[in-house]
Amino acid sequence: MKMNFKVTAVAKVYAESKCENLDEKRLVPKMMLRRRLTRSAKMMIYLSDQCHFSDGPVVYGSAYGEMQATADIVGAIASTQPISPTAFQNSVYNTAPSYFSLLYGNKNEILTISSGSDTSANVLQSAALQAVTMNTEVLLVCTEALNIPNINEVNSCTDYLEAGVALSITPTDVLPNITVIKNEHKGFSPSLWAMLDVVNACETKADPVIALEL
Amino acid sequence: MLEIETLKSQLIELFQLEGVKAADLSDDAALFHEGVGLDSVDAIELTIFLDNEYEIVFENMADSESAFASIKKLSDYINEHGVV
Repeated sequence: MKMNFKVTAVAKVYAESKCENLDEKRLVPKMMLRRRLTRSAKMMIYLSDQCHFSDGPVVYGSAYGEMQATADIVGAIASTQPISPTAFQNSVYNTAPSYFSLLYGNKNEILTISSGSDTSANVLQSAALQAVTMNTEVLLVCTEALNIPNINEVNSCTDYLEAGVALSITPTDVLPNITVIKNEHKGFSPSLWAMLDVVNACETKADPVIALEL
Repeated sequence: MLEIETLKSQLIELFQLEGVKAADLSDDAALFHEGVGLDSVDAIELTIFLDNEYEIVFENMADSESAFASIKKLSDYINEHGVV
């Protein structure tokens, strides 16, 4: 079953190694919070700001999760060093949306999804369901932050080691004015492709409305 | 002997205190709450750092509370009990 959704904002950010100018000093003025943010958290906060969204339910996705924190933990285990509590705290998949909620005092529901190459497709479906169920605007964010030391030893297909995509949707009775076509987004992690399809289709269209599968 | 300015630089690096210089930190500044502003997660991070860097292992809470009271007290504790 498909339902129609107004896409109220879209944003994306990507870089081959590190996304610069994520504006974290303005967006996270408290240094004691800012110092703990992971790369994915910084991307998410930037993208949510680009979507003018700070209060409401969030569906977040990442296929690989917090790679740097995970690598720090594995490295500590391998060298029989104590595990950093900060790395442990930052290693979970919902680190980025949790920092987002801490920053803005957002007490709405957060859902985090990780399902490999289908991650952003599942984020779209889950967010659509949530937007309809709650009849509200929902923020969707997917990020991948793969730029850890020696990543090139195992990576040969992802050019953009840091990438994030976001959009906000709200249910509508208006008929779709955009047909989203599946594309291969060479250089990006396939986990982002489905949302990149939507964002690319919507970014040049005024008042875009899309149909999403529930 | 560990110079207090060296310790301040180490704390700034350890806790990623962006934009803070050693000169900005008072010797008597409390490490937690109103002083430097560290929290409970940082306390564990600091405990691990002291073990790794100076082979300091606190045997009771009173010792750690006393050492963590200020940067100066931590410096004194390291010089008294640590391998510097």
